[in-house]
Amino acid sequence: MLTERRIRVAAVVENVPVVCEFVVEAARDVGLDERGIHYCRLAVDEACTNIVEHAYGYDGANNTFDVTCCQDDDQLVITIEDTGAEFDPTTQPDPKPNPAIDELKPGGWGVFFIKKMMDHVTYRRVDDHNVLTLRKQAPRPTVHAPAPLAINMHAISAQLVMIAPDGQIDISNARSLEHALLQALSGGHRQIILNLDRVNYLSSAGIKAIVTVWQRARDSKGDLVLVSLTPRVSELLNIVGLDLVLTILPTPEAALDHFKTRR
Amino acid sequence: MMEISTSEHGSVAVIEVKGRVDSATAPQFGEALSTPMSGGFRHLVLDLQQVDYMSSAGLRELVNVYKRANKNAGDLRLVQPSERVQEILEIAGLDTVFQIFPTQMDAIGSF
Repeated sequence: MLTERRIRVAAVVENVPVVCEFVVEAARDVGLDERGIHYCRLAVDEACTNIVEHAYGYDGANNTFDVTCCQDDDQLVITIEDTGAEFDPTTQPDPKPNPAIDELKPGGWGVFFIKKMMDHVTYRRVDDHNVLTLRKQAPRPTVHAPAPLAINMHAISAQLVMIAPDGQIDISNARSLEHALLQALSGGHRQIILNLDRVNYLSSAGIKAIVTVWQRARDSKGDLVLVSLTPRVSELLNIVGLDLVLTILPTPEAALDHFKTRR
Repeated sequence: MMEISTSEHGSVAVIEVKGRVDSATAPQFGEALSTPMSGGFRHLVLDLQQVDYMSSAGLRELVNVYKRANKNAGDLRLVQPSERVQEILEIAGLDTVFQIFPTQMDAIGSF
C-alpha cells in the first residue's frame, strides 16, 4: 500500500527525469507490472515536458509544479499541478496515424501518449491551477475459469438420494453443487448421502454450500451425511471443526444403515 | 543517460544510440542526427537497438530529420527498434512512415 507522497520541482527540463523516477517508484509500490510502470513514466514525462515547455513561457526556473502519487484501491493516482497558462490536454485532437510525408507534423504525440498510456485522464482548472489527474490500474489477479464439477445423483428411494460430486469444489462451482443439493431437497429427497470419494479438494465456499444444505435438510426434518471422505477433505473438516457437527460415515453402506435406523 | 556514436559507410552515415531519449536528451539526439546531414550525408541509418525509452520529444526529432532528409532526396532509415520503441512508433502511427531494417548492414545496403 502506497502512502501519499508529493514532490515539488522547478519547471525546468532537467527535473523531468527526477519526477519520472519519483513516479516509477510509486508505481512499483502499487504493484504495477513493468509495462504499466513504463507507461506511467512516459505519461508523466509527456505531461511534465508540456509544463516545462509551455506553461510558464521562458520563466520555468522561477516557477514550480507539484506531482502527487497515491493509491486508490489497486490504482495508482498521479496528480500533476501547475500554476501556468490554462491548458486542457483532454480536449486536444489526436494526431493522424500513418500520415503521408506532406501531412507529417513533428509533434502532437505527447498528449496522445498520455491518453493512450493511462486508464483514465481528467483535467480541472482550480483557481489559477491546472490539475491533471492520471490513473493507472495495477494488474488484477487472474480469475480462474470454473473447475469442472460433475454431479452424479442416484435416487435410492422417494426420500433418500445419494449425490456424488466428481472434481474439486471451490468458489467457482460451489454454487452449482449447492443448487443441485437444494433441488434434491425440494424434490422430496430429505435424506441426502453426499459421497465425497472423488473430491480431493474442498474450499471454504464448498464447506459453506454443504453446511447451508445440511441446515435446510435439518429444517425439513431430514439430514445430510457425508461418506467416503478423501484424507485431504477429512483433514480439512477436522480443522474447521465440522467433523463434530456433521455426520461423517466411512461408506455409503454405513449411511444407508444410518437412515434405516432413523425411519 | 544517452550515448551516441556515428560512423561512415560510403555515402551512408550510421548513428548508434544507447539509453533514453526524452525531453532532456532529445536536443542532443536531434543534433547527432542532423550533423551528418549538414556534412553532406543524405542517407542516414539510425540504430535503435539499444534505446530502451523514447518519448514524443525523441519522435519529434526523428520526424524533423526524416522530413529534412527526404527534402534533400535522402532518407532516414531505422534499425531494429527495441520492443518499447517499436510500440511507441506504432501508437504514434509512425511505424509505416519509416523504413525499418533488422540489421545495420541491411539498412546500409538498402540505399
